[in-house]
Amino acid sequence: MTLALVDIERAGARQQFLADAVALLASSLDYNTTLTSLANLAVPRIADWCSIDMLNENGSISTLAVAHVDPAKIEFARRLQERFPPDPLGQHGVSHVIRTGESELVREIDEVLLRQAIPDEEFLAIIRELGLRSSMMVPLKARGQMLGVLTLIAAESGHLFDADDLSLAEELASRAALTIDNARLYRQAQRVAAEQTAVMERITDGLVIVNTAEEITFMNDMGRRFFGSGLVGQSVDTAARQVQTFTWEGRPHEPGDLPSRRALHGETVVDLEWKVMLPDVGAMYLQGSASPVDAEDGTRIGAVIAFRDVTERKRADDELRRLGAELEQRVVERTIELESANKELESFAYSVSHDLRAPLRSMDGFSQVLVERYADKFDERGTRYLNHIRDAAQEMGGLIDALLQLSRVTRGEMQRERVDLTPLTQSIGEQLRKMDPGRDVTLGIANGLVTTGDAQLLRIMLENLIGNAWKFSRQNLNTYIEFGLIRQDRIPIFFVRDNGAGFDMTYENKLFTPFQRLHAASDFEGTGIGLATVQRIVRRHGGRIWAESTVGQGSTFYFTLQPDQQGAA
Amino acid sequence: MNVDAGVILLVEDNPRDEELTLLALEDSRVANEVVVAHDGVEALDYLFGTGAYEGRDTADLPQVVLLDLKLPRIDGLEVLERLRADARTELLPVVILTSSDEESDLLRSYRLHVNSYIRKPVDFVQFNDVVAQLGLYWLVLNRSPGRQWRRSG
Repeated sequence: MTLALVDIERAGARQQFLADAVALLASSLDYNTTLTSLANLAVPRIADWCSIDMLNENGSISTLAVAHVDPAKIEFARRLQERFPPDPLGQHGVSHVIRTGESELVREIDEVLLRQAIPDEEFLAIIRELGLRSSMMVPLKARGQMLGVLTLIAAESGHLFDADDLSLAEELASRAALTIDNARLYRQAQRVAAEQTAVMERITDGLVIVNTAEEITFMNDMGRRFFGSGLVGQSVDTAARQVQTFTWEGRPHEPGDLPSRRALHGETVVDLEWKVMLPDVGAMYLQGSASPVDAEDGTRIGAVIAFRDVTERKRADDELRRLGAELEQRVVERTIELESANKELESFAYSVSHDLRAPLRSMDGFSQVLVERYADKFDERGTRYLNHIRDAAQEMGGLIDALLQLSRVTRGEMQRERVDLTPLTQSIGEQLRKMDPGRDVTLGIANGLVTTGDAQLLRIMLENLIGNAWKFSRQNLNTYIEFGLIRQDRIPIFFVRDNGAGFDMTYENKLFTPFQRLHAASDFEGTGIGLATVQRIVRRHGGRIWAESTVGQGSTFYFTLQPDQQGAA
Repeated sequence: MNVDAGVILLVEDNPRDEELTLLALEDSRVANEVVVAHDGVEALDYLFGTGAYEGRDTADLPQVVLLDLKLPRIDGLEVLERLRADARTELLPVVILTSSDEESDLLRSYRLHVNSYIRKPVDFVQFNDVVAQLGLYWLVLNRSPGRQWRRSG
């Protein structure tokens, strides 16, 4: 066959060639083989040489196929290319076409052109030997993407390519590019599908896919494990009849209310809960969702049901709930117990207040009447004994009052407000001065001792603390009482310091115990309840109290009115 | 002492407290007649002329009622409530004289418009003092509505 055909003949031959090429390209998805066949189809029907170069993903170029009627020449060309690899930045040739995306037609390869394109003398001599006459290079492009270059060269035939030849080459290139692109897309799709299947199989969630005909088309490993592999290919109705599922509460699911059906209608169903009875395993709890699956163009193609095994979590939750309910019940019970205990305490306190004081008043009153009106009936000793009775009655009255205050301090509701302890303490000092005017007492109260708490309770607390300082410094000529504030770890610590009798630190732990006294009643009177009261008030504010003292040198009581790192003492 | 001749109604169930109160009144030179009711029912009978006091002239009101809180049958707060609910006694001066200083008792008494609330001290000297002041205040200094005309009438 010769290329020197008259126009009509050429046109017919071209059509035939193109038809053959298209048939060839459609024959297989393996484009490597197809393109090699294509190169062989082109030689010698439209060129003496045909080569196809592909652009690799990394930007390099590799020759996929070279065709010539003489296999020896093909081998020669291959070695030549190995020896003289094409210049990637050259102004001509494959890389230039790839860079520009434009076809390149050299109608006549002359000496000037060859010299220009090939600077190497030896290479030039070999090329000259091949007798290349005319060349066409057309890009293989699909969807705007450069895939490679189709090169057609005329040599022995002496044919010179013209515009018609170029358009045939371009037509051929575009068909070939389409084939390559399709094959690549297909491969890519296959890879994606394989990846997706692998992922779907291996994830620990169960997946079931149904198509629009309500047939189960896919179940992954976890899905098969729960519902059995026999369901693939069956309709969801059949599947629902075969595998009975329940709500978490144990009610059987309505067979008509299928999440997949709702999803196929476009609904995304979340928080689905299934209980499945598995042989050998028992009850399993699953939680999942069903969502529609739509194609890119919006057509519904199916629905996917995803679920996971939450049996462990459900059991833990149930246990937690059970414990929570139990705890709540116990709290309720304890609260009732406490409330009734509190009521009892209250009525006890009421009785103490009312009933115990009445007989005391009689003891004191009638003793006093005896002392006053029947003095002549008693000798000095008898009068002294009567006075002992009176003292004892009054002491007991004081104890009852102190106890009542202690219980009230614990019982009453707290009214939290901003309290300035400075003026409060000043007024306590004034009171003490009025009651005990003979004393020389310097009372140093820091300014701005502001805190949050129950004003009434804080007053009782300070009355006790300042009162103690006042009392236990009675034997001093000059008394110094200081009320101030230090800060530790940003927690305000208040302190009341005196230069009084102090106490032995060995007994510090007994300070705050009701009725515990560290001094003889003959030295310092008192009920032994004051500091217990103070401690309760401090504790009710979330704070703690402690003391430091040296016998004969005074005491310092420290207290906080809010919780600190060490917790309430 | 220039005292009103009105009666003092002492409502007290404890006989020793009754005697001590009478002693204290005596010590304070209070010459008014003291009527003692030993529980709430008796007090109400006296004031409303019922029961043992059937036919007593209820217009003749005591000058002051000294009312204990904890009483058999009808307690002090209920007595007070009934007195305040009745037109004849709603303005009658009532002084609570009790051992209790429970906040709740104080509140309830004041809500029922008590005229005074006094806690009986254990110490008899103090108790005497309190009774003397009570006598001075309620029998000498204080003027209550509705007594002047009765005195002159």
